[in-house]
Amino acid sequence: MSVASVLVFDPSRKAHRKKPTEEDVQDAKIIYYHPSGASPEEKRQQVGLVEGLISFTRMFRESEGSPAFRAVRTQQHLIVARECEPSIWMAMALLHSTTSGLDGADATDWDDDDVSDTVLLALLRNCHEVFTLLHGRIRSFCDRKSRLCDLFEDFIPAYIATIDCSDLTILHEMDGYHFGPVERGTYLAIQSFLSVLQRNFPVIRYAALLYDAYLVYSGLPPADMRLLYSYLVSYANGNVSNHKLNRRPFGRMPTAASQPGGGSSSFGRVQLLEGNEDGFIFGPSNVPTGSGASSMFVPPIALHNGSTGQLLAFLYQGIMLVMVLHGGLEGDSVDRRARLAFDPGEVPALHEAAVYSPGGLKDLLPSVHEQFTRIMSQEDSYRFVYFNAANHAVRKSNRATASGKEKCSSSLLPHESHVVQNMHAVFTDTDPECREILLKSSGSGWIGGKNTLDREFFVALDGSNLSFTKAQDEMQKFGTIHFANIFID
Amino acid sequence: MAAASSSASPLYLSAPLYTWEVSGEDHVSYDEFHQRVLHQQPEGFFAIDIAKEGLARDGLLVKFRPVRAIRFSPDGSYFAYLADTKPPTMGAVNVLHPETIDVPVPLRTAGGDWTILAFFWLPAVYVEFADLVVVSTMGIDVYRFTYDTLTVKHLRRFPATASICWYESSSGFVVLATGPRTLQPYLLYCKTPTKLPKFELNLQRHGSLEAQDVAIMTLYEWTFCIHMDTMAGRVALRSLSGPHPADIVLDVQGPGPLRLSRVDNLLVVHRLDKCISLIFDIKQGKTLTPICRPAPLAVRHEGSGPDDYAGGGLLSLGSGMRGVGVVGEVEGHGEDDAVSVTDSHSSVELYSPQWRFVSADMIVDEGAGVVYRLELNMDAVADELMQISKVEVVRVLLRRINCRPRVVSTLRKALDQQAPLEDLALLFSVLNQVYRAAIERVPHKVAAATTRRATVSLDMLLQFVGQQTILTEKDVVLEVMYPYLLAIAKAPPNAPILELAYQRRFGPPTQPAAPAAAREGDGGGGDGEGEKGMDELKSDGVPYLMSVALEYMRSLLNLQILPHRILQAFVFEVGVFFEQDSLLQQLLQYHVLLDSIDLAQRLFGLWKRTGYAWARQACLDMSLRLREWSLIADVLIDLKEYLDVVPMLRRHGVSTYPIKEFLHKVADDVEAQQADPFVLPHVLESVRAWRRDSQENPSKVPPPNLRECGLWLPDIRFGDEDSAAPGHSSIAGYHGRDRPRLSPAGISGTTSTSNPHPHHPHGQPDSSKWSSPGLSSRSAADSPPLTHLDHHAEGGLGEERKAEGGDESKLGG
Repeated sequence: MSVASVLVFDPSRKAHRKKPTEEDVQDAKIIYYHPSGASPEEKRQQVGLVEGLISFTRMFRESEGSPAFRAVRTQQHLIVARECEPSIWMAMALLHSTTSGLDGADATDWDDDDVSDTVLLALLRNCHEVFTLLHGRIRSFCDRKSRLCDLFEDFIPAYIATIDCSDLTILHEMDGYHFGPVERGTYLAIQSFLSVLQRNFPVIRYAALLYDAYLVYSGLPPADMRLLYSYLVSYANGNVSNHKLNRRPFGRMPTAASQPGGGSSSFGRVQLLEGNEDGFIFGPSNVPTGSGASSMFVPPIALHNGSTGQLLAFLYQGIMLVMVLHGGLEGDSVDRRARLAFDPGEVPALHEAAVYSPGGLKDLLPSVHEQFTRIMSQEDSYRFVYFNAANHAVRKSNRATASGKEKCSSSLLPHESHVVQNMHAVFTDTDPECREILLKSSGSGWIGGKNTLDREFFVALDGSNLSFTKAQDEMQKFGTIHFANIFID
Repeated sequence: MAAASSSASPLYLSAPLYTWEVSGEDHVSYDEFHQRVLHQQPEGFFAIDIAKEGLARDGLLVKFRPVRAIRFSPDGSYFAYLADTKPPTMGAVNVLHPETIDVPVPLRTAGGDWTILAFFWLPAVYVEFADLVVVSTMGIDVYRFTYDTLTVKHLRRFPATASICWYESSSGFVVLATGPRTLQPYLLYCKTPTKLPKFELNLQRHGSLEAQDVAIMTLYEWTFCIHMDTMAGRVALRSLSGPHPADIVLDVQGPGPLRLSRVDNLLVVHRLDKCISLIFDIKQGKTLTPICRPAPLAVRHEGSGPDDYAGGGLLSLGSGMRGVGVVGEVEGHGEDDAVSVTDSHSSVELYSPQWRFVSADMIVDEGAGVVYRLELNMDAVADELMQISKVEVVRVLLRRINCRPRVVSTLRKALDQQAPLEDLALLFSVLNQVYRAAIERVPHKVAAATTRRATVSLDMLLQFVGQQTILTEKDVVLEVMYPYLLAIAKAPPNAPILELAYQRRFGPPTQPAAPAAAREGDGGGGDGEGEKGMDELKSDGVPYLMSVALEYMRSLLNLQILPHRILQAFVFEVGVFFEQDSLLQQLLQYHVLLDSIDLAQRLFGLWKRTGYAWARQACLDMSLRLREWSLIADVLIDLKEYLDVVPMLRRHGVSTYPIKEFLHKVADDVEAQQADPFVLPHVLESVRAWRRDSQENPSKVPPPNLRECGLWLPDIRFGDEDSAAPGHSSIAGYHGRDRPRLSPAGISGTTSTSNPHPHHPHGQPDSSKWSSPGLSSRSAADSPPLTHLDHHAEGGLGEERKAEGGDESKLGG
């Protein structure tokens, strides 16, 4: 499956002409279309199709507020659409993968890929949220369509390049944090250190600390932290890495145009680091060639409370310190009137204080590392995925899957992942009253899912010959091991 | 208490404790052991209990012939005397029958020229006898006086040729000058009296040792032999107890006559020539300097109370000046007359050559006929130290007795000035080290007597420490942080934090600003605090007060003290007040906030007020660990998850929860029954099934509590309906819990949180790998165990503080 097109449109937009043609009316609605080289006719057709689907499905809505159209599957395409801002829709068309027919090149079989609509909708949501994070809301550009188009022209292709449709899992939809296991004393030490740092450097508005891409402490509002976490370290398959943005397909160079006020998007751009070395992700360049504001890359971000800030982040021995600086940005759009709100010369001192001051990262590292490693090195006895909607904690087991002779690093096999997606859809959408499902398909083991008061977990049981009763026992055993301290109804 | 001016003298002379008409026939001495002034007159001697007040101080008149010295036995019923006869004689005399019971002490001498240098009683070990030490120029003899048999028996002799001796009766140390510069110490108050290694003094050339050049003094837990080198202008301390601490040398501002005193473990060096006193604290560190500027003594002035040594209560005098103080006159010295003290003014010649420093803090002015005690003006000391460092102030105050209010005041000042968190961290560390040491001093047997765990109740701790200055979490929360919060919130005194928090979040503009007087009362006003408070209320990051509270909590945990629930409740409520929901979530997640019913109830209240799913989840998880089934049931009922309640109770074998409460609520919910007419029948069927299964297999399925459920379950009438569940005579297991009451820092309205789960010290199953409220942690880490410190709070603060077997790694989820 691959992304065929992305459409951003506003059905309420009117053509400027006094007597617009039908084409003018359709064109006026289009904010952006990818690929931009597509013919106007194709663009209009897509808008017309999605708009028509929206109008049609609107008739069957349960209530005024409930979503209308979400997805449609055709032989070749899967189209998902989402109203990401009032009256602004994003739609994405994905082309199913193909397999050649047995009787020649003309007969192509289109695979109906095992990706659920909800996961693709989550992808669309993430695309919009990341854009909003980096540039502000689309609506805020309404009077500067060309400026918006420039940004989309850079942002959308770069974003699409990061999508691996074969590796989209339910964890992408769940969009949560992997929390880092440390003891309470260490947590308090981190909290204390960051409080001191913020008081000594008032330019820091919020700070968060990750270890090995696991969230240990966050001082950011939860919605902003979730989005930042997703952008900075989280992959669509639920894996996380401190070096995500430094690796392909991310790892774009900061350019002058990607600085605030330029025409390019800051998406995927970071100060590049060699291998796993330490240094700034956002901040001054790690290459000692420039200094001052010109080599500084602190992308502005828009926060959910309507304010803006600037991102400063660096890596130190597996720790990622993320700071949102007071932005000095005004207005709705991040790109509008953006400027550095602090003295770039202050950043090295900040880094020095963060790492080497008493109680700083250098002092914290041993205990964080020891406690984290001690817990994380233990192999889970089951393969599972867990999500807690109350605090957005996500966990997937570190037990490797055994598929025939292969060993896969993912906790679930692709077909198991597909089953889990469907179970999740039942819990969240089709039948919210449903609490527990235990399912077995021929040739594979049981998969159990449970949904209880904001928590969901899915367990893949090995062994295709397991009886139903035995599978139930295993599920109970799983619960006993892991939820003795937690209220799982 | 009025603030002391910075110019106030740190030391002062008390009001006269005893006065007499000076004449050649009177001899006044002081018995430190019993705190009695002994006034010998031709017809006998008065023993005045200066530690007592009013009539109790009057003491008694003992008709006895004049002797050189008198020392009361440890039990006070006898006194030993030394008569200047030739050879000297000693005896032990009954206080009530001095003429008839006079037991001579069989002094052991080898003839020749010898004199008795000193004698004293050792502190009592047994009530049947007392040991008397006699030091002569020929050595030390220890005698045992048996009260019942009225015998004095020689016990031990340490032969030595001595010219001068010094001793401290309370510690049992004696030091003899056995050479021009050689001192020989002995420890007599121990199982086996011991001769300690001798040492040489470093005297100036041509210098000679005088009696007033050396003293023995116990400072804190160490006893020192202190040499005042008047020629070199220094004071040297050598520990008699062992190599620790190492020798200490104090610079006392040049040569000159010196005298020593000790006030509340502070060493006071009096420069008689300069008429100033220098105060040293030997725990200050390696480089010892006076803890405040050298200053002359002040004299307590008329009308000043026991603690009123500021605001004009004292007159500070300059060098060589005479001051005006209160002098009492002793009237009616007759046998039956009470000794009363009346106020009158008289001049006091400070540092008079007629002063005798008769004990650690007592001064007898033989010229004026007055006995004074040397006292400390801690406000003046604290004010001076405050200019250097708040940490140093707290450090010094914590070593003193009865300084809790001053430490509180110092902390308040630090908060008001928004002291840097690093400084506060240091300050809390100092504070809590003393706290921890105090907890450890409570004997384990005593501590364990009240609870099953190795814990210490707050009441017991406070009883045990007595006058020692410590600050508990209760003091810090109620007297430092809570008033600060009220000040920045401009709230009236005693305003409940959660109410303020909810008003701030949802209600109309919070409470009207408190009257100025009220704000002043809680120490809030002044210094632009209002603006600071506003800044803090609008702050993006973690508010200052929250950071301070967490820093304090961290300091306690670093010392392996589990924070008292009042602090945990305060942190929670302050978090709610400042809308730090994310931080609160994390604090619960990482178990910084420990499980307690108080907290579970607060979470329930927060959920009800805000609808936060995380609060509900944390409440449920915590309730599960605490086995607080009724709270879980309440949450489920509130969620209208009626069908889950009975299975949950049954699964956990809960026989205490009154099913009738639940059935009432379901029956009252007309809306739910309209939506699903089968909901009540379904619930009833599940109850019946539970009852049926229990009857069939009572050992595996504990019965439900069906008391008064006959209304809905007619088939059980006259059966289970009127009988209580096993082990419960009524629904007592349920009604002990109330809804959370909104109170300042959890000050009221909590119930016992004793662990309802017998196997898990903190209500947390220890086998769990993923701790509440989630799942991102993998297993409980084996971290070093915390000291089990359990505290009881007073006045409804929650009765008990939990101990926990170990710090777990918790995460996520």
